[in-house]
Amino acid sequence: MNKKVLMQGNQAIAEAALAAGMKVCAGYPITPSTEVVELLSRKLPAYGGRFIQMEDEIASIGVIIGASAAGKKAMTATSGPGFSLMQELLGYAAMVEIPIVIYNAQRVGPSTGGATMPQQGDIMQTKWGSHGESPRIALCPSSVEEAYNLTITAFNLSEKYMVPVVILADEILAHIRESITIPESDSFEIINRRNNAPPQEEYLPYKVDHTGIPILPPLGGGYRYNISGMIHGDKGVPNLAPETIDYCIQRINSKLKKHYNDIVMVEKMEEENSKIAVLAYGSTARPAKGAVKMAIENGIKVDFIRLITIWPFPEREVREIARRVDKILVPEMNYEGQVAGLVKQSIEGAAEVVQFNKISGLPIYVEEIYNQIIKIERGEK
Amino acid sequence: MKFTEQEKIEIRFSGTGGQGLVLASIILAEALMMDGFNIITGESHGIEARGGASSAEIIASKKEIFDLSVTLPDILVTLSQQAYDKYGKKIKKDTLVILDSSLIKSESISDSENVHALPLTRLVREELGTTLPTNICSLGALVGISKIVSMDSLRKAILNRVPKNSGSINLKAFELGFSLIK
Repeated sequence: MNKKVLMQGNQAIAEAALAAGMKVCAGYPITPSTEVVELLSRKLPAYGGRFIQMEDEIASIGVIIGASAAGKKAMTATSGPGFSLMQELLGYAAMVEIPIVIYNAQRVGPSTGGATMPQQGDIMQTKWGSHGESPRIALCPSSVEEAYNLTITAFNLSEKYMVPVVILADEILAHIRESITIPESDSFEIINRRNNAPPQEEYLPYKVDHTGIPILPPLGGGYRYNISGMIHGDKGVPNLAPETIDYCIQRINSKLKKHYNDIVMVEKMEEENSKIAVLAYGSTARPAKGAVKMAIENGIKVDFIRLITIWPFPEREVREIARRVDKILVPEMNYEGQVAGLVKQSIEGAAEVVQFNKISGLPIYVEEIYNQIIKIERGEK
Repeated sequence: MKFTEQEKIEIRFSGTGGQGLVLASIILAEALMMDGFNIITGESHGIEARGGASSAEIIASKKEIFDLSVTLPDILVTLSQQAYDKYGKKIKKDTLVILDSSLIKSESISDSENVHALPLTRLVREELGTTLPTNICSLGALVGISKIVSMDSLRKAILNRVPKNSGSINLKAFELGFSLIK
Protein backbone atom coordinates (compact mmCIF):
# COMPACT_ATOMS: atom_id res chain seq x y z
CA MET A 1 0.00 0.00 0.00
CA ASN A 2 1.16 3.53 -0.69
CA LYS A 3 2.06 5.30 2.53
CA LYS A 4 1.55 8.97 3.30
CA VAL A 5 4.70 11.00 3.78
CA LEU A 6 5.29 14.60 4.76
CA MET A 7 7.26 16.16 1.91
CA GLN A 8 8.33 19.62 0.81
CA GLY A 9 7.51 20.79 -2.72
CA ASN A 10 11.16 21.11 -3.69
CA GLN A 11 11.92 17.71 -2.25
CA ALA A 12 9.06 16.14 -4.22
CA ILE A 13 10.44 17.59 -7.46
CA ALA A 14 13.94 16.28 -6.75
CA GLU A 15 12.66 12.82 -5.77
CA ALA A 16 10.41 12.63 -8.83
CA ALA A 17 13.26 13.63 -11.14
CA LEU A 18 15.26 10.69 -9.78
CA ALA A 19 12.26 8.41 -10.27
CA ALA A 20 11.94 9.65 -13.87
CA GLY A 21 15.52 8.58 -14.61
CA MET A 22 17.18 12.00 -14.57
CA LYS A 23 20.96 11.50 -14.45
CA VAL A 24 22.48 14.96 -14.76
CA CYS A 25 21.64 18.10 -12.82
CA ALA A 26 23.64 21.30 -13.10
CA GLY A 27 22.66 24.38 -11.19
CA TYR A 28 23.48 27.61 -9.47
CA PRO A 29 21.49 27.41 -6.21
CA ILE A 30 18.91 30.15 -5.74
CA THR A 31 16.05 30.69 -3.28
CA PRO A 32 13.32 29.40 -3.39
CA SER A 33 14.50 26.39 -5.42
CA THR A 34 17.70 25.62 -3.49
CA GLU A 35 16.56 22.38 -1.83
CA VAL A 36 16.26 20.73 -5.26
CA VAL A 37 19.95 21.09 -6.09
CA GLU A 38 20.94 20.50 -2.47
CA LEU A 39 19.12 17.19 -2.45
CA LEU A 40 20.21 16.11 -5.91
CA SER A 41 23.85 16.92 -5.17
CA ARG A 42 23.67 14.40 -2.35
CA LYS A 43 21.53 11.76 -4.03
CA LEU A 44 22.46 11.69 -7.73
CA PRO A 45 25.75 9.77 -7.37
CA ALA A 46 23.90 6.85 -5.77
CA TYR A 47 21.63 6.78 -8.84
CA GLY A 48 24.62 6.63 -11.21
CA GLY A 49 24.23 10.32 -12.02
CA ARG A 50 26.17 13.54 -11.57
CA PHE A 51 25.43 16.91 -10.04
CA ILE A 52 27.60 19.86 -10.90
CA GLN A 53 27.40 23.34 -9.38
CA MET A 54 28.26 25.82 -12.12
CA GLU A 55 29.48 29.40 -11.99
CA ASP A 56 26.10 30.76 -13.09
CA GLU A 57 22.78 29.86 -14.64
CA ILE A 58 23.96 30.30 -18.23
CA ALA A 59 26.58 27.63 -17.71
CA SER A 60 24.08 25.44 -15.84
CA ILE A 61 21.63 25.23 -18.72
CA GLY A 62 24.58 24.73 -21.09
CA VAL A 63 25.64 21.66 -19.11
CA ILE A 64 22.22 20.06 -19.21
CA ILE A 65 21.79 20.64 -22.94
CA GLY A 66 25.16 18.95 -23.48
CA ALA A 67 24.30 16.06 -21.17
CA SER A 68 20.96 15.56 -22.89
CA ALA A 69 22.58 15.65 -26.34
CA ALA A 70 24.74 12.80 -25.05
CA GLY A 71 21.55 10.90 -24.20
CA LYS A 72 21.08 11.57 -20.48
CA LYS A 73 17.92 13.02 -18.99
CA ALA A 74 18.97 16.31 -17.47
CA MET A 75 17.51 19.18 -15.46
CA THR A 76 18.28 22.42 -13.71
CA ALA A 77 16.45 24.28 -10.93
CA THR A 78 16.23 28.03 -10.61
CA SER A 79 14.11 31.08 -9.87
CA GLY A 80 13.36 34.40 -11.64
CA PRO A 81 16.82 35.98 -11.82
CA GLY A 82 18.40 32.71 -12.95
CA PHE A 83 15.57 31.88 -15.33
CA SER A 84 16.13 35.24 -17.03
CA LEU A 85 19.77 34.33 -17.60
CA MET A 86 18.81 30.99 -19.12
CA GLN A 87 16.60 32.44 -21.83
CA GLU A 88 19.03 32.39 -24.72
CA LEU A 89 19.97 28.74 -24.26
CA LEU A 90 16.34 27.84 -23.57
CA GLY A 91 15.61 29.07 -27.10
CA TYR A 92 18.65 27.16 -28.36
CA ALA A 93 17.43 23.90 -26.79
CA ALA A 94 14.01 24.42 -28.39
CA MET A 95 15.61 25.19 -31.77
CA VAL A 96 17.93 22.17 -31.81
CA GLU A 97 15.24 19.97 -30.20
CA ILE A 98 17.32 18.67 -27.30
CA PRO A 99 15.00 17.73 -24.41
CA ILE A 100 15.67 19.40 -21.05
CA VAL A 101 13.62 20.07 -17.91
CA ILE A 102 13.87 23.39 -16.07
CA TYR A 103 12.27 23.92 -12.70
CA ASN A 104 11.43 27.58 -12.06
CA ALA A 105 10.16 28.36 -8.56
CA GLN A 106 8.73 31.82 -9.23
CA ARG A 107 9.53 34.50 -6.64
CA VAL A 108 8.72 38.16 -6.37
CA GLY A 109 10.25 40.11 -9.27
CA PRO A 110 11.33 42.09 -11.20
CA SER A 111 15.11 41.91 -10.80
CA THR A 112 16.32 40.52 -7.46
CA GLY A 113 12.82 41.25 -6.15
CA GLY A 114 12.04 39.18 -3.07
CA ALA A 115 13.59 35.75 -2.70
CA THR A 116 11.29 34.24 -0.08
CA MET A 117 7.94 35.35 -1.48
CA PRO A 118 5.75 34.02 -4.29
CA GLN A 119 4.68 35.54 -7.60
CA GLN A 120 3.24 34.26 -10.86
CA GLY A 121 5.14 36.72 -12.99
CA ASP A 122 7.07 34.45 -15.36
CA ILE A 123 4.20 33.12 -17.47
CA MET A 124 5.11 35.23 -20.48
CA GLN A 125 8.86 34.92 -19.98
CA THR A 126 8.55 31.15 -20.08
CA LYS A 127 7.16 31.29 -23.61
CA TRP A 128 8.56 34.54 -24.99
CA GLY A 129 11.74 35.17 -22.99
CA SER A 130 14.11 34.16 -25.78
CA HIS A 131 14.30 35.93 -29.10
CA GLY A 132 12.40 34.56 -32.05
CA GLU A 133 9.62 32.03 -31.74
CA SER A 134 10.18 28.53 -30.44
CA PRO A 135 8.16 25.84 -28.64
CA ARG A 136 8.02 25.11 -24.91
CA ILE A 137 5.83 23.10 -22.64
CA ALA A 138 5.13 24.57 -19.18
CA LEU A 139 3.34 22.74 -16.37
CA CYS A 140 1.93 24.39 -13.22
CA PRO A 141 1.52 22.10 -10.20
CA SER A 142 -0.81 23.20 -7.43
CA SER A 143 0.03 20.67 -4.72
CA VAL A 144 3.14 18.88 -3.54
CA GLU A 145 1.73 15.56 -4.72
CA GLU A 146 1.03 17.03 -8.14
CA ALA A 147 4.53 18.53 -8.22
CA TYR A 148 5.85 14.98 -7.90
CA ASN A 149 3.61 13.59 -10.64
CA LEU A 150 4.07 16.51 -13.03
CA THR A 151 7.85 16.30 -12.72
CA ILE A 152 7.65 12.78 -14.11
CA THR A 153 5.26 14.05 -16.80
CA ALA A 154 7.71 16.87 -17.58
CA PHE A 155 10.49 14.40 -18.37
CA ASN A 156 8.11 12.21 -20.36
CA LEU A 157 6.82 15.07 -22.52
CA SER A 158 10.30 16.46 -22.98
CA GLU A 159 11.64 13.13 -24.24
CA LYS A 160 8.59 12.36 -26.35
CA TYR A 161 8.42 15.72 -28.13
CA MET A 162 12.13 16.67 -27.99
CA VAL A 163 11.35 20.00 -26.39
CA PRO A 164 12.27 21.97 -23.25
CA VAL A 165 9.71 21.56 -20.47
CA VAL A 166 9.43 24.11 -17.68
CA ILE A 167 7.97 23.12 -14.32
CA LEU A 168 6.51 26.49 -13.41
CA ALA A 169 5.81 26.51 -9.67
CA ASP A 170 6.16 29.30 -7.15
CA GLU A 171 7.70 29.98 -3.75
CA ILE A 172 4.62 28.72 -1.89
CA LEU A 173 4.65 25.32 -3.51
CA ALA A 174 8.46 25.15 -3.32
CA HIS A 175 8.51 25.59 0.44
CA ILE A 176 5.33 24.10 1.87
CA ARG A 177 5.31 20.55 3.13
CA GLU A 178 2.24 18.40 2.55
CA SER A 179 1.13 14.93 3.45
CA ILE A 180 1.32 13.15 0.09
CA THR A 181 1.20 9.67 -1.39
CA ILE A 182 4.21 8.76 -3.50
CA PRO A 183 3.16 6.51 -6.38
CA GLU A 184 4.79 3.08 -6.65
CA SER A 185 7.50 3.06 -9.30
CA ASP A 186 5.57 0.54 -11.43
CA SER A 187 2.40 2.64 -11.40
CA PHE A 188 3.57 5.37 -13.78
CA GLU A 189 4.91 5.31 -17.30
CA ILE A 190 8.47 6.41 -18.08
CA ILE A 191 8.96 7.61 -21.63
CA ASN A 192 12.40 7.70 -23.21
CA ARG A 193 13.22 9.50 -26.45
CA ARG A 194 13.06 7.45 -29.63
CA ASN A 195 16.32 5.80 -30.56
CA ASN A 196 15.41 3.94 -33.74
CA ALA A 197 17.33 6.09 -36.21
CA PRO A 198 18.00 4.61 -39.67
CA PRO A 199 21.60 3.57 -40.43
CA GLN A 200 24.14 6.39 -40.62
CA GLU A 201 24.25 6.32 -44.46
CA GLU A 202 20.54 7.16 -44.64
CA TYR A 203 20.33 9.25 -41.48
CA LEU A 204 19.33 12.92 -41.51
CA PRO A 205 18.91 14.25 -37.94
CA TYR A 206 16.02 16.63 -38.58
CA LYS A 207 14.14 14.61 -41.18
CA VAL A 208 10.88 13.79 -39.44
CA ASP A 209 8.13 11.24 -39.97
CA HIS A 210 4.39 11.79 -39.44
CA THR A 211 4.96 12.58 -35.73
CA GLY A 212 6.95 15.70 -36.58
CA ILE A 213 9.53 14.73 -33.95
CA PRO A 214 13.20 14.18 -34.89
CA ILE A 215 15.24 11.19 -33.75
CA LEU A 216 18.55 12.35 -32.29
CA PRO A 217 20.71 9.43 -31.11
CA PRO A 218 23.09 10.15 -28.20
CA LEU A 219 26.13 12.10 -29.35
CA GLY A 220 29.23 10.01 -28.76
CA GLY A 221 27.27 6.85 -29.44
CA GLY A 222 28.46 6.36 -33.03
CA TYR A 223 26.22 8.62 -35.09
CA ARG A 224 27.75 11.70 -36.70
CA TYR A 225 25.47 14.65 -37.19
CA ASN A 226 25.37 18.39 -36.79
CA ILE A 227 23.44 20.37 -34.18
CA SER A 228 23.11 24.07 -34.89
CA GLY A 229 21.12 26.98 -33.51
CA MET A 230 21.18 28.43 -37.00
CA ILE A 231 18.28 27.80 -39.30
CA HIS A 232 18.67 24.28 -40.61
CA GLY A 233 16.92 21.79 -42.82
CA ASP A 234 16.86 18.00 -42.51
CA LYS A 235 20.65 17.77 -42.47
CA GLY A 236 20.99 19.99 -39.43
CA VAL A 237 23.58 22.23 -41.07
CA PRO A 238 23.06 26.00 -41.41
CA ASN A 239 20.91 26.78 -44.45
CA LEU A 240 19.35 30.18 -45.01
CA ALA A 241 17.39 29.43 -48.15
CA PRO A 242 13.97 31.16 -47.79
CA GLU A 243 12.09 27.86 -48.08
CA THR A 244 14.30 26.29 -45.38
CA ILE A 245 13.72 29.22 -43.00
CA ASP A 246 10.00 28.90 -43.58
CA TYR A 247 10.06 25.12 -43.12
CA CYS A 248 12.32 25.11 -40.04
CA ILE A 249 10.32 27.70 -38.08
CA GLN A 250 7.00 26.17 -39.07
CA ARG A 251 8.10 22.68 -38.12
CA ILE A 252 9.49 23.39 -34.64
CA ASN A 253 6.53 25.60 -33.73
CA SER A 254 3.80 23.37 -35.11
CA LYS A 255 4.97 20.09 -33.59
CA LEU A 256 3.29 20.72 -30.22
CA LYS A 257 0.07 21.88 -31.89
CA LYS A 258 -0.09 18.51 -33.62
CA HIS A 259 -0.02 16.76 -30.23
CA TYR A 260 -2.15 19.32 -28.33
CA ASN A 261 -4.49 16.72 -26.83
CA ASP A 262 -1.63 14.71 -25.37
CA ILE A 263 0.05 17.76 -23.83
CA VAL A 264 -2.73 20.05 -22.64
CA MET A 265 -4.17 19.15 -19.24
CA VAL A 266 -6.85 20.98 -17.25
CA GLU A 267 -9.00 20.16 -14.21
CA LYS A 268 -12.65 21.20 -14.40
CA MET A 269 -15.69 21.33 -12.13
CA GLU A 270 -18.88 22.39 -13.87
CA GLU A 271 -22.27 23.36 -12.44
CA GLU A 272 -25.47 23.39 -14.44
CA ASN A 273 -26.39 26.86 -15.76
CA SER A 274 -23.58 28.68 -14.02
CA LYS A 275 -22.97 32.27 -15.07
CA ILE A 276 -19.55 32.63 -13.43
CA ALA A 277 -16.34 30.66 -13.81
CA VAL A 278 -13.11 30.90 -11.84
CA LEU A 279 -9.96 30.11 -13.83
CA ALA A 280 -6.73 29.60 -11.89
CA TYR A 281 -3.37 27.83 -11.99
CA GLY A 282 -0.47 26.90 -9.73
CA SER A 283 -0.74 27.46 -6.00
CA THR A 284 -3.45 30.11 -6.57
CA ALA A 285 -5.74 27.35 -7.83
CA ARG A 286 -5.99 25.92 -4.30
CA PRO A 287 -7.74 28.91 -2.68
CA ALA A 288 -9.65 29.40 -5.95
CA LYS A 289 -11.11 25.91 -5.71
CA GLY A 290 -11.89 26.46 -2.03
CA ALA A 291 -13.73 29.69 -2.90
CA VAL A 292 -15.73 27.98 -5.67
CA LYS A 293 -16.78 25.21 -3.27
CA MET A 294 -17.76 27.81 -0.68
CA ALA A 295 -19.84 29.67 -3.28
CA ILE A 296 -21.60 26.47 -4.34
CA GLU A 297 -22.36 25.66 -0.69
CA ASN A 298 -23.94 29.10 -0.46
CA GLY A 299 -26.13 28.54 -3.49
CA ILE A 300 -24.08 30.37 -6.13
CA LYS A 301 -23.35 28.31 -9.22
CA VAL A 302 -19.72 28.68 -10.27
CA ASP A 303 -17.58 26.71 -12.72
CA PHE A 304 -13.95 26.02 -11.92
CA ILE A 305 -11.14 25.41 -14.36
CA ARG A 306 -7.52 24.87 -13.40
CA LEU A 307 -4.84 25.08 -16.04
CA ILE A 308 -2.28 22.34 -15.42
CA THR A 309 -0.53 22.88 -18.76
CA ILE A 310 0.05 26.61 -19.26
CA TRP A 311 2.09 26.33 -22.50
CA PRO A 312 0.83 25.42 -25.04
CA PHE A 313 -2.02 27.56 -23.71
CA PRO A 314 -5.25 25.50 -23.27
CA GLU A 315 -7.24 27.78 -25.57
CA ARG A 316 -9.80 25.16 -26.60
CA GLU A 317 -10.73 24.33 -23.01
CA VAL A 318 -10.84 28.02 -22.10
CA ARG A 319 -13.10 28.79 -25.09
CA GLU A 320 -15.43 26.00 -23.97
CA ILE A 321 -15.78 27.55 -20.52
CA ALA A 322 -16.34 30.98 -22.07
CA ARG A 323 -19.29 29.61 -24.03
CA ARG A 324 -20.89 28.37 -20.78
CA VAL A 325 -20.62 31.47 -18.59
CA ASP A 326 -20.91 35.27 -18.73
CA LYS A 327 -17.91 36.15 -16.59
CA ILE A 328 -14.57 34.50 -15.91
CA LEU A 329 -12.67 35.49 -12.78
CA VAL A 330 -8.89 35.04 -13.07
CA PRO A 331 -6.99 35.40 -9.76
CA GLU A 332 -3.23 35.71 -10.20
CA MET A 333 -0.19 36.75 -8.17
CA ASN A 334 1.00 39.30 -10.74
CA TYR A 335 0.29 42.90 -11.72
CA GLU A 336 -0.78 42.73 -15.37
CA GLY A 337 -2.84 39.57 -15.37
CA GLN A 338 -0.60 37.53 -17.64
CA VAL A 339 -2.97 34.58 -17.90
CA ALA A 340 -6.06 36.83 -17.90
CA GLY A 341 -4.63 38.38 -21.07
CA LEU A 342 -4.20 34.96 -22.67
CA VAL A 343 -7.78 34.09 -21.72
CA LYS A 344 -9.08 37.26 -23.37
CA GLN A 345 -7.08 36.50 -26.49
CA SER A 346 -8.41 32.94 -26.63
CA ILE A 347 -12.10 33.68 -26.09
CA GLU A 348 -12.39 36.77 -28.32
CA GLY A 349 -15.10 38.42 -26.25
CA ALA A 350 -17.23 35.31 -25.67
CA ALA A 351 -17.28 36.17 -21.95
CA GLU A 352 -16.09 39.03 -19.78
CA VAL A 353 -12.77 38.50 -18.02
CA VAL A 354 -12.56 39.85 -14.45
CA GLN A 355 -9.05 40.11 -13.06
CA PHE A 356 -8.02 39.76 -9.43
CA ASN A 357 -4.34 40.54 -9.05
CA LYS A 358 -2.37 40.39 -5.82
CA ILE A 359 1.28 41.41 -5.79
CA SER A 360 2.08 41.86 -2.09
CA GLY A 361 4.14 38.70 -1.81
CA LEU A 362 1.39 37.17 0.33
CA PRO A 363 -0.63 34.23 -0.93
CA ILE A 364 -4.18 34.72 -2.17
CA TYR A 365 -6.71 33.48 0.41
CA VAL A 366 -9.99 31.60 -0.13
CA GLU A 367 -11.94 34.46 1.39
CA GLU A 368 -10.50 37.03 -1.04
CA ILE A 369 -11.56 35.02 -4.08
CA TYR A 370 -14.93 34.24 -2.51
CA ASN A 371 -15.51 37.98 -2.00
CA GLN A 372 -14.74 38.58 -5.69
CA ILE A 373 -17.28 35.91 -6.66
CA ILE A 374 -19.89 37.60 -4.47
CA LYS A 375 -19.18 40.98 -6.09
CA ILE A 376 -19.57 39.47 -9.57
CA GLU A 377 -22.78 37.73 -8.50
CA ARG A 378 -24.18 41.04 -7.23
CA GLY A 379 -23.19 42.79 -10.44
CA GLU A 380 -20.62 44.98 -8.70
CA LYS A 381 -17.80 43.66 -10.90
CA MET B 1 -11.71 25.29 23.19
CA LYS B 2 -11.85 21.58 22.44
CA PHE B 3 -9.33 20.96 19.67
CA THR B 4 -10.12 17.28 19.47
CA GLU B 5 -13.53 18.11 17.98
CA GLN B 6 -12.24 20.58 15.40
CA GLU B 7 -11.86 19.31 11.86
CA LYS B 8 -9.28 22.00 11.05
CA ILE B 9 -6.52 23.28 13.32
CA GLU B 10 -4.04 26.06 12.53
CA ILE B 11 -0.85 26.30 14.56
CA ARG B 12 2.01 28.81 14.54
CA PHE B 13 5.42 28.40 16.15
CA SER B 14 7.42 31.59 16.45
CA GLY B 15 10.78 32.45 17.89
CA THR B 16 14.32 33.20 16.86
CA GLY B 17 16.11 31.55 13.96
CA GLY B 18 18.10 28.65 15.40
CA GLN B 19 15.64 27.64 18.14
CA GLY B 20 14.42 24.70 16.09
CA LEU B 21 10.89 25.89 15.47
CA VAL B 22 10.74 24.58 11.92
CA LEU B 23 11.83 21.18 13.19
CA ALA B 24 9.22 21.31 15.98
CA SER B 25 6.54 22.12 13.40
CA ILE B 26 7.61 19.28 11.13
CA ILE B 27 7.55 16.81 14.04
CA LEU B 28 4.08 17.89 15.15
CA ALA B 29 2.85 17.88 11.54
CA GLU B 30 4.16 14.37 10.98
CA ALA B 31 2.46 13.17 14.17
CA LEU B 32 -0.83 14.79 13.10
CA MET B 33 -0.44 13.09 9.71
CA MET B 34 -0.02 9.72 11.44
CA ASP B 35 -3.26 10.47 13.28
CA GLY B 36 -5.10 10.90 10.00
CA PHE B 37 -4.95 14.63 9.28
CA ASN B 38 -4.15 16.20 5.92
CA ILE B 39 -1.24 18.55 6.46
CA ILE B 40 0.31 21.69 5.07
CA THR B 41 3.28 23.28 6.77
CA GLY B 42 5.08 26.48 5.87
CA GLU B 43 7.77 28.68 7.29
CA SER B 44 8.89 32.26 7.08
CA HIS B 45 12.19 33.77 8.02
CA GLY B 46 13.48 37.25 8.59
CA ILE B 47 15.96 38.53 6.04
CA GLU B 48 18.68 37.17 8.33
CA ALA B 49 19.36 33.44 8.41
CA ARG B 50 19.70 33.50 12.19
CA GLY B 51 18.55 35.91 14.85
CA GLY B 52 15.46 37.47 13.27
CA ALA B 53 11.91 36.57 14.25
CA SER B 54 10.97 33.43 12.35
CA SER B 55 7.80 31.43 12.23
CA ALA B 56 6.68 27.98 11.20
CA GLU B 57 3.07 27.03 10.72
CA ILE B 58 0.82 24.02 10.33
CA ILE B 59 -2.64 23.60 8.88
CA ALA B 60 -4.10 20.21 9.82
CA SER B 61 -7.49 19.21 8.50
CA LYS B 62 -9.64 16.12 8.12
CA LYS B 63 -10.77 17.59 4.78
CA GLU B 64 -9.04 18.97 1.67
CA ILE B 65 -6.95 22.07 2.49
CA PHE B 66 -7.44 25.15 0.30
CA ASP B 67 -5.70 28.00 2.12
CA LEU B 68 -1.97 27.46 1.96
CA SER B 69 -0.95 29.60 4.91
CA VAL B 70 -2.20 30.41 8.39
CA THR B 71 -3.92 33.73 8.99
CA LEU B 72 -4.97 33.63 12.66
CA PRO B 73 -3.81 30.47 14.46
CA ASP B 74 -5.79 28.34 16.90
CA ILE B 75 -2.56 27.61 18.76
CA LEU B 76 0.46 29.92 19.06
CA VAL B 77 3.78 28.81 20.53
CA THR B 78 6.21 31.64 20.99
CA LEU B 79 9.75 31.42 22.31
CA SER B 80 11.23 34.91 22.09
CA GLN B 81 10.32 38.47 22.96
CA GLN B 82 10.76 39.64 19.37
CA ALA B 83 8.51 36.87 18.08
CA TYR B 84 5.91 37.51 20.77
CA ASP B 85 5.87 41.21 19.88
CA LYS B 86 5.40 40.29 16.21
CA TYR B 87 2.92 37.41 16.44
CA GLY B 88 1.42 37.72 19.95
CA LYS B 89 -1.40 39.98 18.75
CA LYS B 90 -2.15 38.13 15.51
CA ILE B 91 -4.46 35.66 17.20
CA LYS B 92 -8.13 34.88 17.71
CA LYS B 93 -10.01 35.60 20.93
CA ASP B 94 -9.69 32.00 22.07
CA THR B 95 -6.28 31.13 20.61
CA LEU B 96 -4.26 28.90 22.91
CA VAL B 97 -0.94 30.66 23.55
CA ILE B 98 2.09 28.86 24.97
CA LEU B 99 5.01 31.15 25.66
CA ASP B 100 8.41 30.90 27.24
CA SER B 101 8.27 33.03 30.38
CA SER B 102 12.03 32.70 30.86
CA LEU B 103 12.57 34.73 27.66
CA ILE B 104 9.48 36.95 27.47
CA LYS B 105 9.00 39.84 29.92
CA SER B 106 6.03 39.20 32.20
CA GLU B 107 4.72 42.77 31.85
CA SER B 108 4.27 42.23 28.11
CA ILE B 109 2.20 39.06 28.53
CA SER B 110 -1.56 39.51 28.26
CA ASP B 111 -3.54 38.10 31.13
CA SER B 112 -5.94 35.44 29.87
CA GLU B 113 -6.86 31.88 30.74
CA ASN B 114 -5.80 30.87 27.23
CA VAL B 115 -2.25 32.08 27.79
CA HIS B 116 0.15 29.59 29.33
CA ALA B 117 3.39 31.24 30.40
CA LEU B 118 5.90 28.45 31.10
CA PRO B 119 9.63 28.83 31.91
CA LEU B 120 10.58 26.35 29.16
CA THR B 121 14.17 27.37 28.43
CA ARG B 122 15.11 27.64 32.11
CA LEU B 123 13.54 24.29 32.97
CA VAL B 124 15.19 22.49 30.08
CA ARG B 125 18.57 23.95 31.03
CA GLU B 126 18.14 22.98 34.69
CA GLU B 127 16.83 19.49 34.06
CA LEU B 128 18.79 18.48 30.97
CA GLY B 129 21.89 20.66 31.10
CA THR B 130 21.35 22.16 27.63
CA THR B 131 18.78 24.47 26.09
CA LEU B 132 18.85 22.73 22.70
CA PRO B 133 15.68 20.62 23.09
CA THR B 134 13.52 23.55 24.29
CA ASN B 135 11.61 23.28 20.99
CA ILE B 136 10.65 19.69 21.79
CA CYS B 137 9.79 20.64 25.38
CA SER B 138 7.30 23.17 23.99
CA LEU B 139 5.71 20.34 21.98
CA GLY B 140 5.19 18.40 25.22
CA ALA B 141 3.35 21.35 26.75
CA LEU B 142 1.34 21.87 23.55
CA VAL B 143 0.17 18.26 23.48
CA GLY B 144 -0.49 18.28 27.22
CA ILE B 145 -2.82 21.23 26.94
CA SER B 146 -4.46 20.69 23.57
CA LYS B 147 -4.50 16.86 23.23
CA ILE B 148 -4.56 17.37 19.46
CA VAL B 149 -2.33 14.41 18.76
CA SER B 150 -1.59 11.06 20.34
CA MET B 151 1.53 10.70 22.50
CA ASP B 152 2.49 7.63 20.51
CA SER B 153 2.51 9.40 17.16
CA LEU B 154 4.40 12.32 18.59
CA ARG B 155 7.11 10.14 20.14
CA LYS B 156 7.45 8.32 16.82
CA ALA B 157 7.71 11.60 14.92
CA ILE B 158 10.39 12.90 17.31
CA LEU B 159 12.53 9.81 16.79
CA ASN B 160 11.99 10.04 13.01
CA ARG B 161 13.20 13.59 12.78
CA VAL B 162 15.87 14.34 15.41
CA PRO B 163 19.51 13.20 14.98
CA LYS B 164 19.89 9.55 16.06
CA ASN B 165 22.17 10.24 19.03
CA SER B 166 19.81 12.84 20.49
CA GLY B 167 16.62 10.75 20.55
CA SER B 168 16.57 10.07 24.28
CA ILE B 169 17.30 13.64 25.41
CA ASN B 170 14.58 14.93 23.10
CA LEU B 171 12.10 12.39 24.46
CA LYS B 172 13.03 13.56 27.98
CA ALA B 173 12.46 17.16 26.94
CA PHE B 174 9.07 16.17 25.55
CA GLU B 175 8.05 14.42 28.79
CA LEU B 176 9.29 17.44 30.75
CA GLY B 177 7.05 19.76 28.75
CA PHE B 178 4.13 17.37 29.10
CA SER B 179 4.64 17.12 32.88
CA LEU B 180 4.21 20.90 33.23
CA ILE B 181 0.57 20.47 32.37
CA LYS B 182 -1.44 18.65 34.95
